[in-house]
Amino acid sequence: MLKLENFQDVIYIHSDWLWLIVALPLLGAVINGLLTLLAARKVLTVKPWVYAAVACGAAIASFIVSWEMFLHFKQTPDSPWVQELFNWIESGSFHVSFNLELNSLSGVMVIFITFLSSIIHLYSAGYMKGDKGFGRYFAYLNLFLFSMLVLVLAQDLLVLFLGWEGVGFCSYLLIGFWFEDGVNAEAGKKAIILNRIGDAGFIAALLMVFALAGTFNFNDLLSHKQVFTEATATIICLCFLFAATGKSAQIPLYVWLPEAMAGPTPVSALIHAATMVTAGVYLIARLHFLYVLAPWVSTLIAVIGVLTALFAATIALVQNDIKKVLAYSTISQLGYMFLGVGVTSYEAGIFHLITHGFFKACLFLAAGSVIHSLSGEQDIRKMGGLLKHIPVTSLAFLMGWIAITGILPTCGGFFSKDEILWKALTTPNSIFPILPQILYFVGLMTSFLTSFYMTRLVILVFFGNYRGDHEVYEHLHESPRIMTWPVLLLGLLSLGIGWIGVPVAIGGADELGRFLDPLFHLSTLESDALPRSLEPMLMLVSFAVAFLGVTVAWYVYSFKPSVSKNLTLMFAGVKKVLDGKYFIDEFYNDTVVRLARAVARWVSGWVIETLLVNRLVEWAVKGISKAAQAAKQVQVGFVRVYLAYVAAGAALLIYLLLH
Amino acid sequence: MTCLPLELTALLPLWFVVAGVVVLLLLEMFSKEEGRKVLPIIALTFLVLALGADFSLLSRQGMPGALFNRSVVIDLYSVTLQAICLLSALLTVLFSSAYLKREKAVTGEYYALILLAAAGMIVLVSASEFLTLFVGLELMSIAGYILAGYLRIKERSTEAALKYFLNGVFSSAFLLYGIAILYGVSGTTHFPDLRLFLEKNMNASVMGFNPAVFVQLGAALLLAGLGFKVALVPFHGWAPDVYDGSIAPVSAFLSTGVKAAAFGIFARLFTEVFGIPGSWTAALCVLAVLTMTLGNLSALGQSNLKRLLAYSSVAHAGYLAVGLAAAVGNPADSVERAVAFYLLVYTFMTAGTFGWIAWASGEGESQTNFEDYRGLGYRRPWMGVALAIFMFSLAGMTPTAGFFGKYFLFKLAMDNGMIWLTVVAVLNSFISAYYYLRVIAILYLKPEENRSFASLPVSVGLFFAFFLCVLGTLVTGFLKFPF
Amino acid sequence: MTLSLLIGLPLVGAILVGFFPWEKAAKALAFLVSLTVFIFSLQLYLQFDLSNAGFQFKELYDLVPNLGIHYAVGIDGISLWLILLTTFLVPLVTLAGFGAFSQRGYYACILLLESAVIGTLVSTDLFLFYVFWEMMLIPAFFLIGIWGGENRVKATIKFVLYTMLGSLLMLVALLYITHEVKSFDYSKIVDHFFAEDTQFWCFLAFALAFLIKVPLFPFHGWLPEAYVEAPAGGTVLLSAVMAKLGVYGLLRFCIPLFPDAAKAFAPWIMILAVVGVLHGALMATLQTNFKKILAYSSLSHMGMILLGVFTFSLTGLQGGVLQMVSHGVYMAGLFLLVGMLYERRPSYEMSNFGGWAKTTPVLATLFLLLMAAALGMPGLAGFVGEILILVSAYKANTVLALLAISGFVLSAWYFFYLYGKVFLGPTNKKQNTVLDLSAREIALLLPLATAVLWIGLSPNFFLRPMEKSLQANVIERLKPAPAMTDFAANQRHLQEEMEKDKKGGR
Repeated sequence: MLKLENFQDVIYIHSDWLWLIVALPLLGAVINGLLTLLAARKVLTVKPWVYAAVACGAAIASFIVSWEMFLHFKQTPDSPWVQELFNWIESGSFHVSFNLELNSLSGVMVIFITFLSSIIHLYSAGYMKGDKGFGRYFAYLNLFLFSMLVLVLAQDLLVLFLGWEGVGFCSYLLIGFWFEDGVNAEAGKKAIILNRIGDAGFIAALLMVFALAGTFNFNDLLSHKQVFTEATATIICLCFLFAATGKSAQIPLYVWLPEAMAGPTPVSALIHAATMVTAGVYLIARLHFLYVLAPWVSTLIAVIGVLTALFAATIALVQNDIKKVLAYSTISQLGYMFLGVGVTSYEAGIFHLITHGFFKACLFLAAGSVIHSLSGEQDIRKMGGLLKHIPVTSLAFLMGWIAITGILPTCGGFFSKDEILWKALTTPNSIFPILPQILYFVGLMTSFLTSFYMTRLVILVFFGNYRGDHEVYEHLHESPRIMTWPVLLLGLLSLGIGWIGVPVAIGGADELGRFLDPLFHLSTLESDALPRSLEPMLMLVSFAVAFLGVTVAWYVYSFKPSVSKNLTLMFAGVKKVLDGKYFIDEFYNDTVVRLARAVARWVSGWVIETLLVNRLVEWAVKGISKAAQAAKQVQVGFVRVYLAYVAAGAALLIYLLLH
Repeated sequence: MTCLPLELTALLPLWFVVAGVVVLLLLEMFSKEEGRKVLPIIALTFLVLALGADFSLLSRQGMPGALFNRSVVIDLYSVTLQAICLLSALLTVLFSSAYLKREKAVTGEYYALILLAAAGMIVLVSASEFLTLFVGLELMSIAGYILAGYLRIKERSTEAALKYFLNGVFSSAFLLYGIAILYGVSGTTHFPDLRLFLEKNMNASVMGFNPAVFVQLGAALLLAGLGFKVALVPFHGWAPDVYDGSIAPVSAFLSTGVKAAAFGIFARLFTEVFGIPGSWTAALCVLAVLTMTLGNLSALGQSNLKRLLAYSSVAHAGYLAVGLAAAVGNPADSVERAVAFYLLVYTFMTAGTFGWIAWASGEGESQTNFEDYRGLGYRRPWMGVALAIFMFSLAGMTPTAGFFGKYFLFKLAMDNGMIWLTVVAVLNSFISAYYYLRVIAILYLKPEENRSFASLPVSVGLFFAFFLCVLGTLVTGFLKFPF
Repeated sequence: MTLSLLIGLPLVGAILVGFFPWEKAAKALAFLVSLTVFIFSLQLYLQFDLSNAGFQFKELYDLVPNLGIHYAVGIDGISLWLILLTTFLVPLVTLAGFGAFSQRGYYACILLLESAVIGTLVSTDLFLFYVFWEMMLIPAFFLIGIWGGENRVKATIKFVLYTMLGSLLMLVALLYITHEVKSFDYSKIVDHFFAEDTQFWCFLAFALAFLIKVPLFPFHGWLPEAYVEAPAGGTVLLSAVMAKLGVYGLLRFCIPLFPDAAKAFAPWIMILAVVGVLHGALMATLQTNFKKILAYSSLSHMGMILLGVFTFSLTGLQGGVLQMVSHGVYMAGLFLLVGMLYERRPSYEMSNFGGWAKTTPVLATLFLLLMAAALGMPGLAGFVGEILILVSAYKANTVLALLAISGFVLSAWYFFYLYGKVFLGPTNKKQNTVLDLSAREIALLLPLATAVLWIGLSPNFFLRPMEKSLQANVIERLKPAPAMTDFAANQRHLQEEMEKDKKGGR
């Protein structure tokens, strides 16, 4: 099954079974899709559990397969596994073959993705129970899993783009899953169009890469990276970054993510929290060898990341929709990841990607369970005191809360976030020497806000007294096991997941870091003089900050509710701005969208189409018909006139012949 | 005089047609009402015989050439033209029989006149000498004048006849004058001799006076005279009114047979006689451009199918003139071939269309406006398709014969390096496409409910005629024509 | 004999159908004929000799001997796919008509059109080519003019006149070059070197005819009306088949016959193409009539194809031809689906639709799939051609390529807008009666769906046969011809000298 083949300096192991990882979900998607259509045609009736079984089976099987492979792979982490599936496009010098590559990075990602999605598939089976589009839902979900796996396993930018577009398309389908409500459909449209705008950057980058290197294959690019000068690398990386901001909902293209919450909650958990939105981070990490050539862009990434983190966190402070809060927190956390990869500490970025994936999925699923048990209520002002009604869900949510705030050291996102902050502080920046400090402090502030708004959420939802209306209260119930157990599992895992990367500084064996290091070490800038021993101190600092945030929030929202009122009264303006999400949507609508519309209507529609294309022709036609009217006048019908014509004609001829 | 039998056989078509005239007149004199039913059949028989004679001439090796003291020439070209004229006469008779029955105006002399005109055409196209030419021309024209005014009760018809006649005599004078001058300067009326004279003296000035001047004067007058017969602008004034005014079958005859004959001899003159570099080329170019453009432009504004066709036939004369303008510099036979071919195609499609109008316009030609044919395509699909085919062909779209005809003519101009003339011609046929296509489009507009075209019968003769025209329009382009 | 069969079979079929006594059965006969033609045409692929770049399946008979007009046909890798595309689509179009049209004439016209199109694609005699080229107009005229929508007359006359203007000017150029070469034989003409100004004018004349048919940006005045007014089948034939003939004409005649002029004009055409890409997309975003959206998107995509063709690089050319095939397939599918929507609710206004994904899930799914292909979703038909075109365009002209990308964004805008308006959102009461696709409709759409996937996943299957022909019959022609008359050679030499002097002067 395994055969060694030497390729450049890296040893590639040819594998025959990588395709299985991606094929299984695809198969599931196809089967479910066909079943759904056949059922819709009333050709046959399908029991819901069949869809669920197929989809979950596909996901879990894919997880098991990849887990097996990963275990094998771990023995020789330096030699990636490759499978040439088929020769995709071949035209002149343009050659792309459809290859899958399992290296340490994609390996970690595959495990992460397949595992999470397995759990979320199971959860969905409960959550979507009784929905009309049950089969369709699972077909889409499996299709998404397939695309996501292709994205991470691709050995080739073009194949990666296939997955990239695929996940975008699936997210469109799933956001607008309940399409009969126009709002959801709109949200889906907005998401995919913004993604497309980003993708334009991706394609532009593809063109430049090909023009320079003549290949899309990552390894060939790696071995030809001398063809990229700093200038070209900068432009290319900028384009890829633009694409990444689209997918990963960073400034400037983040506006679609909050509305994407229109989709079913498991979808928000899987696609819009854990996996798809992290594709941007993955892309940058995958192209680390390009980004290291473009320090400007890396700096830009860090800045964008930290700004987005802060920005989204501030908006999250005032959101009242439980999912919206989580959505903005996702954007903010993605900002952290960008900060990580921005300061070229790719392990840290991936590390946080994974931890965040777990706890944010946990939070979303728990939130979904809350919504489920409140029969669809999402407004946290109508919740409260749910702890005693739905203990299991609450427990899970609290675990997630601990993980994200990092209130409990060594748990959940504590290490990963800290790793990022540490790297942000210690990685020197050749362009703005003082940038690291700024990054660090803004990051710190963000973590304060994070713990603040998360705590606010927890208190408003689970503590205090129930504020909702009554008939909801009547059938307030804990969700079924098929939902609660996966959530619980996720909760526990999100607490423990941090241990895959305990920093060396506190005597941990930074496993993930070490595992990924061979891939990234060439691209990672060395930290400067700050002693490693400082790291534990900083950990304490960030813990203190988190703790502060929690306590403040706790004080404000559970003991002195008046404070928040006064605050809102004091800073009414600020509150307004935050409620309006800084009016970014409005800003885009009034500038970009309106501009595009105007160009379409006036330049294309009026100047070109009407004037240039049609009016000219109409004028020509008018001219001819005028001539025709004139010509008709010649035919007067009097013989004498005709004779005059003849005479004149004869005279003309004589003139013509004799002149 | 030894080869009398040859002279007999060579002019057999003429004899047949003349015999037909005599028989028809006698029949008209002595037959009762029911005898009139057979009139068209008699006419057809003689025409078919004449055509047969033509075909036998075409099929046999070696043409007789000049006969009757070189006053007529029986060669491939003249025989083909004879065939075309006879064909036009045949179609006219077929169309007329139904038409006259409907209009209750069946008489023997009508058919006699058609055959008489046909006889005139035969003489005209085979003329090799000016006097014969003139005799044939007048024979044809006078019969034409009467035919144009055949329905005395319709004053538009009478008006048409009068216009035709007055213009006709006026321009015949030009023609005669031209002939006279040419005779005066060259001392011969025979085409070949005249050609020799021209080749000798066009550039040389003999004993003080320059014959070229007189030749050109003569040529100009000749052009004017013939230009009238084929309705070139500005000698066309009569044409639309006549084609529009006289009854549809006659219009078919006048616009195809008469024009074909006149153009035939026109082409012969300007290839075999004036086919040497001379200032008439420019003149012909001017005439061609004027004719095409004016014809098409005035057809553009028409809302009456018959009138539209009248103008379109003017325009087509323009296309033919393009071929003539390119005569100098191209081998005579290629020009004659192109002209003859176009005339054949033109006869099929124009006669067909006029016949269609004769059929569709109903009692007393009451309906010749576009609006009257609204939706006819749905109610009478086959007749609709027939008209569509004629229109496509007139517009010169492939694969109809109309395209091939135009192609050969324009090719002449191009081979002669007259690119601009070709462009003008092509643009003209572009303009013409608009009004032809509009006619088809109207056939397939939503028909008014009350309007049903069931009251329009298609007799056997009519069917045959249409079939002939459609077939000709479709396949002529792909035939290996005889020369 | 195969090619003659491919021309003759539909022609005979058309006549048979036209005269078929039983109106009911006529359409079945038409379908049968077109299917037979398709099966015959498969032979072309099976017997196609990949190693041969020149013409294959040649036939030669005299047509008008004394003018040197021949019936000469043959195909190469370029025409192969377009023929197969045509023969593949026509049966589907015929089948699609079953619901709406029962008149024999309709089917006769379709078959007639097929015959003309195939004739155009296979003629290697310029006269013959022109005959077939013009002949296409007649059935097209009837298809729109008789079976079209409300304003069909205006639309059809506009369409035919636009096309004729081009064709007639091409006729002049044709007359000229055949007069100069004294032959209609393609191989003779293509080897003949034309003087600079001849090339200039003839290229203009030919290109105008072809670019109107495509249509390239400023010549698309006829497109929106014709596409919208035509019946579904007619629109498919217009957009998926006849539009391609324009590009084919450029590839087969304009570029090889007048290489220098082609090189001189290429930048301008590329600019117009990109303007077309953007303009078409922007116009599409303005429409409320979804058939018009598709019409304008078609304009935009055709611009993309021309952009690829005029890079004159193998990749670009292959991308262009491949994109022609895929555009043919997905546009055909989309327009057929639009026709099916129209049969269920006779309107093209999006405001009359909404939520159809609920009532007609299968229709919606197929529409989504074909739409995704049109959007250039990787793994489906549209993407491969697009990326090949863009890559080569980027090498030829960076700015244009980058501009063309924005067409990719806009297409998402109008397509998802369309899909949202028609298939998503709340359903209104009236459409509860609406039925989903019938077995027939599914049967005729499945081949298209399959083709979309096939092209997207194994484009090499399509790229390989055309490679050699494009190399030999287009790219090689653009290099300074070795078989050049001394006169021409001298001319070039002199010009080069003069240019050198100029440079020296500066």
